[in-house]
Amino acid sequence: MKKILGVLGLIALIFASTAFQYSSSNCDIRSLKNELLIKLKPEYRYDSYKVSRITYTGKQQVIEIAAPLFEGEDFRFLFNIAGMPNDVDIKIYNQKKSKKNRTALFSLLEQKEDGKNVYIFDPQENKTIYINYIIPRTGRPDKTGCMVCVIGCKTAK
Amino acid sequence: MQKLTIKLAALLIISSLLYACGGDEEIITEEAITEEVEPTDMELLDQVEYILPSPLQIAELFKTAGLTYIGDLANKPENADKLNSKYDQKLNFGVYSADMAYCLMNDQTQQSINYLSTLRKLSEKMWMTDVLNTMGLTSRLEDNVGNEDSLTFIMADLQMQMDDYLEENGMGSTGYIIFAGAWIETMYLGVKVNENEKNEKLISRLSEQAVILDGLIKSIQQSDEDGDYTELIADLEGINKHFAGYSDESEEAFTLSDEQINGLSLDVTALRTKVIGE
Repeated sequence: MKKILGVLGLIALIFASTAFQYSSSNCDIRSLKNELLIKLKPEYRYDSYKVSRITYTGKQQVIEIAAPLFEGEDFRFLFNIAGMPNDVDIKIYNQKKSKKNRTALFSLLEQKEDGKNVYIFDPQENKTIYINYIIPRTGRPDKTGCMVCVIGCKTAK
Repeated sequence: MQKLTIKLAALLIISSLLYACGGDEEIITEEAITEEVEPTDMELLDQVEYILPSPLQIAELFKTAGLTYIGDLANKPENADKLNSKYDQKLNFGVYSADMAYCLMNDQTQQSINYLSTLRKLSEKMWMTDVLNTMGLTSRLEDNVGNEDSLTFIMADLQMQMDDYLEENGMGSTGYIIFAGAWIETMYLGVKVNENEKNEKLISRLSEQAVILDGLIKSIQQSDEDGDYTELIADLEGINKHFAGYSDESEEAFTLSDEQINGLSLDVTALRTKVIGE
């Protein structure tokens, strides 16, 4: 009888553990970042990175990040969405969200492919661009996730 | 008793199964919710976040614009011994990082190694010993003397190690203060080289820094929960007044006038003197 109970307990533990993993996000920042660094080489070198930690809520959220660019310099923006358990959209604009006439320069949903978690944006602008993470609302507001963005700049002129 | 135990175990398993399998249903529901979202249900977070470039990137911009090397401009390594507060150490870690980049980009490798030693001392004072000790930086610098591309990559590696350390230890605000120190020093080097010999390209790059300063001030403000950086924010806002004519909506490049650049030079020099404690 003890053996049966032991086996049943083990099965219960495995299922509970699976359930826990399912509701948590994969936020191993260093791994997510390293996956992006590969896509910089050989043309670009590392410049900086930004981690955005996100808690899902009952409302859709828009997080805006301003990223300055410079005249005559070539930059590459890389995004790893693997740390987001629910679908997230990334839109990049030439103006901040308070401006009505802003133009979208990039939209993740237009490029999204099943199984792909790394996306690249090479801006043509030479001023500040505005990255928007559009986080869907969920029925489970304790869920968390993270987005990693790596920026590289071109090495040779 | 045994029957009750088996019933409880079975209940536990069924509960686990329901919870684990329930995930799929949840996702379907969430997708449906997402599609139905009305604009009024959107939570537009007021706070804008900022990505700041590396100090190396700014130094490189200035260098390509003609930031020549003047021997006694950079801060003296021995000044690091006078830094007692953590705040001063963080700011000056940025200052010495900028000086190291300035020397590296101008083939002053031995001087760069001296600054690396100063940075190592400061990082120990700041309890960040792992950052600079594990990279074999000195030998990498010595092995690449005269190869500017390789030296730049070494600096970029150093920057990434620093970024990782700060991120993994939840020290984002320290990163902003270090960046502020590096930014002030790079601006100081830029205005002084321009004072020595007027350089339109350098003035253009100095003017462009309006974009960075605004983001830097707001980043420090957002991370300053205890009001520790009020004075620094006020000082940086004083510098920001020189960029009042800048607008990110304008299609035309923003360039400071001669009068404005003179004013900027005076204020940057005064702030830098205050930061290094001279």
